[in-house]
Amino acid sequence: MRDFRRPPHWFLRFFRWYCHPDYVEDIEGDLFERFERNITQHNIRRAKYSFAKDVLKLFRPGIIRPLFSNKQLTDFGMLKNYFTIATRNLFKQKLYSSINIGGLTVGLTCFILIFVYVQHELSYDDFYSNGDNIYRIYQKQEGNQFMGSDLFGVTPAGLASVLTKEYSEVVRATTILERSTLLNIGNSSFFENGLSADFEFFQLFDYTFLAGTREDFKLANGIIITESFAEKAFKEKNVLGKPIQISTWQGELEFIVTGVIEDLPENSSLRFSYVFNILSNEEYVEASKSAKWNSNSYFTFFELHPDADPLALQAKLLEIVSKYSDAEDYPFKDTYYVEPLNQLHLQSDVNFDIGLKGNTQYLVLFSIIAVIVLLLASVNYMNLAIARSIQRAKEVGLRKVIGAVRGQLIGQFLGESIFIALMGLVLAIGLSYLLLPYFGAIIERPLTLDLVSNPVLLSSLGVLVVLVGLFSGSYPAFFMSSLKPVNTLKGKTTDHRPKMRLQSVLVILQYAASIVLIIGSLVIYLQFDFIQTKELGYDKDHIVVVRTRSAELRKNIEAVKTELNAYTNVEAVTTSQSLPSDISSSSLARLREDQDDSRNIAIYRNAIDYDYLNTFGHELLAGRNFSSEITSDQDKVIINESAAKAFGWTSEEAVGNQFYRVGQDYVTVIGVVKDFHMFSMHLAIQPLMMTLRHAYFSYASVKVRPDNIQKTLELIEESVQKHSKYPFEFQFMDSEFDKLYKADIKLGKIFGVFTFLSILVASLGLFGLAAYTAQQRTKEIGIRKVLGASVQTIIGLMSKDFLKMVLIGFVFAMPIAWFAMDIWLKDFAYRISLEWWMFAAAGIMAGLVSMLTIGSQSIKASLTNPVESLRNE
Amino acid sequence: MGKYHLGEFEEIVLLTVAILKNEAYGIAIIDEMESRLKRSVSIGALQTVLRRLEKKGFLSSEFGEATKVRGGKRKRYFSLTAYGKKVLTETKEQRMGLWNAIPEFAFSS
Repeated sequence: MRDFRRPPHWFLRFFRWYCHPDYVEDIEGDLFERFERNITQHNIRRAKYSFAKDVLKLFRPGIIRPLFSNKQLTDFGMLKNYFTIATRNLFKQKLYSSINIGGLTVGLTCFILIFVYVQHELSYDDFYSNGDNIYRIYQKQEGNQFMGSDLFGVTPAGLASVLTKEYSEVVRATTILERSTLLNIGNSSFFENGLSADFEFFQLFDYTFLAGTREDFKLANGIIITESFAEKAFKEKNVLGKPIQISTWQGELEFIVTGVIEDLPENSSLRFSYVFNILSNEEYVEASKSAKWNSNSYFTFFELHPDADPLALQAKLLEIVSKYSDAEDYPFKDTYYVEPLNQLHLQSDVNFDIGLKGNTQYLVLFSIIAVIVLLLASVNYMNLAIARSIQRAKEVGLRKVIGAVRGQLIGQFLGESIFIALMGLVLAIGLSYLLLPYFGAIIERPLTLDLVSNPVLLSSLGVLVVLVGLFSGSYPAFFMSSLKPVNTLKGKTTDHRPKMRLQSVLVILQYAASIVLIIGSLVIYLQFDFIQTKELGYDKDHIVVVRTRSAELRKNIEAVKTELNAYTNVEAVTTSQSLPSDISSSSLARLREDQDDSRNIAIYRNAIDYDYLNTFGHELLAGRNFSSEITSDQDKVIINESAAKAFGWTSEEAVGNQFYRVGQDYVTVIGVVKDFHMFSMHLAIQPLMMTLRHAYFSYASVKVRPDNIQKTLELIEESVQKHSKYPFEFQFMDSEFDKLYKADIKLGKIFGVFTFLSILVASLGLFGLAAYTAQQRTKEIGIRKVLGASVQTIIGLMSKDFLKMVLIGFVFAMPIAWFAMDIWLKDFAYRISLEWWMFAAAGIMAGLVSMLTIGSQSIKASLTNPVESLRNE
Repeated sequence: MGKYHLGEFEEIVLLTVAILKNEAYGIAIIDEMESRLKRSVSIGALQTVLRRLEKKGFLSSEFGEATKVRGGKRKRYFSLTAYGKKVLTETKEQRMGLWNAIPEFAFSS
């Protein structure tokens, strides 16, 4: 009933909305009065009608609230005041300001560096105009585990043409072969990265031609080179039609330059200086013509129609394998997978893959660390701001008395923290410019920081500064704005307990994060130490490894060996297909031919000569080495312990026994060597067999005496280069070995740096807090000293609270660190186990760092003469 | 004194406020005007003029006590300021001067 007698709701709301706030009350009263009178004099309908009419008629300039309140006018002055107060505080409290800004600078610098790195990694191969439609094919050979993965980047020669012919959604496809070889131009020779590919290559990848056209690549002896290679090799601009001699397995072939393309962008995962036509390769021509696929060493890239679904194509490819592959000869079932070009760079699980590879693990790990360091810095700000809040309580009180509302105060403090974050950002950008070259060198990427042309980075930094400012300023802002002016102006400090609790939690979290990182660094260091000192099963010291690319060198190797052996500083020389640290081919074997395929084992292979075991110091457990006097040794093998075990033999039983090489014949074992680490320690030792090498081999390894190595190297170079036009490529075996752990070493380095930074930031925060507490407790300490407290008691008193926090942080950090490092170590087949003392050491280290940090402040406080601290007031 | 030119409606409102003395609030003013002048006045028209006159300094206003009627809203009572009275008087004198200047015959015919 009463509802019925009310004025029209929407009109009332409308009126309240537009009416000037000063007039609302009495005019609304008038409206009501007239409405009530209209109900009694007339009827409810008329009353409502007239109410609505009045409301509408009141909607006129004199009554409507102003569009902009006059508050607007004073905003500038207020902002100016905020700014003045902020800068005054900044300069008044130099220590805290520099801790805050310094911490944020470090955090933001880490963020910028890692952002640039991540952005670079994700940008690979994004420069082709049709890049979104380019895919490649890799295969999975079910059960063929090779170096820990059964994925292979290589495909048969005939795949590209079948794709284009039988699948209408494939626009074009190209076949590529990696061919880094010797190019002879006039009298000079160049060894550079190169590819050979079919005509479609330049149709698929839209490189810009500076000379010639992409159509000219039809020529079977055509070669296309990059701009910088053209300049380097020919030293002139006009190179079209010039001949280049290329060393191939078919001998030296002549090619004609049919085009010059622009240099590849830095973020191209395909790296080459030249591409020559694959039709010059007889092996390819034959393999691509054969009806059944019998080759598997080519890379296939293709362009898909924009509307086609790559997964649908992948499903269709299941049939292609059974149709074309020579299944009888090969025991593994192939499955083809379609992968977009933009994933090529970060795909690291595929064996024998093409292109420069990135590391997804780094990306994730570094991003996490960047966020952690940034959070640590924000927490510093928060902690110090809370600590200093008492000093600014009077300001808050005064502002409130003058009429500041809570929202304004929150805005002021948030604005201040964003301002500080902005200063940190400016410094961080400068610092990043300085550090980027070094960071780029460690991770081996040509990183550049160009804010103007990088809108993503610029806008991310903008958002980040606001977020960091809001996050670090949030608690101080809400806490300070809630202070009661009556209390603050009276000089009564408010209750300390809740904010002390929050501060403690924050310090504990900071220390927990730092301790996790310390434990991480320690474990990484110990694992590397373990790898470096572990018994490998072969010698890696004082061995010079020479790459033997030259066919002439290989032909004359016996003469070279004799020559080298004549030098007093050379102990032994051997030639082999692979090095003991990097055995890179495998085949299948089983005990007897009549067993079925499920009994197959993958056995890795190396082809060696008579001096190999001696040079690398392999230990024979049973049997004998190959002998040049026994001609039948050509068909014999030496295996390792793991192989003997895989066939169910002891080392002694193995000698004289035979096993069956799938698709070939039985071979007899003449010797068994002790197991040695033939891969990086990420992978377990696998069965291995070594045969006598044939004409081809990749390495000549020279064991030298440690004295006068430089001279010996010169002699080796002289002997080898007599027979080779290739550049002299040599390595010491121990650096070959280090190469296996290149990724891990990089990781360790960067991890160490970040750990240092995070401890630095956390310590800065703790230092600030300790300094503040000491300052706050000056009087208390003075009184304690007057009453007879000793310096030690006071230091203990000051440090106790902080050490307690570090200890609690340690308790939180332990399980997290254990979990994380166990995951990291799982990636190694040979690893250290996590021991309690590693954690204890990290804890003690964190404790020591915090002791040092707090110590100076505590000692300063405890040594102050009480007369000084108690005198004033 | 053309500076203080009052509009016709403004003058009427000022006069009505003066008539009502201590009881001059929105509805009362409208009622008074309607009963004396037999013309209907909307709240909107009146309020705009009241606020304008207040801004010019001819009127001042203050809130009364809250009552149960009117939705519990207080009334705003208007009263003439000294300045308002002066202007009103001057206006009247101007009018009177004009009336007095009219030659007798003009009206009698």
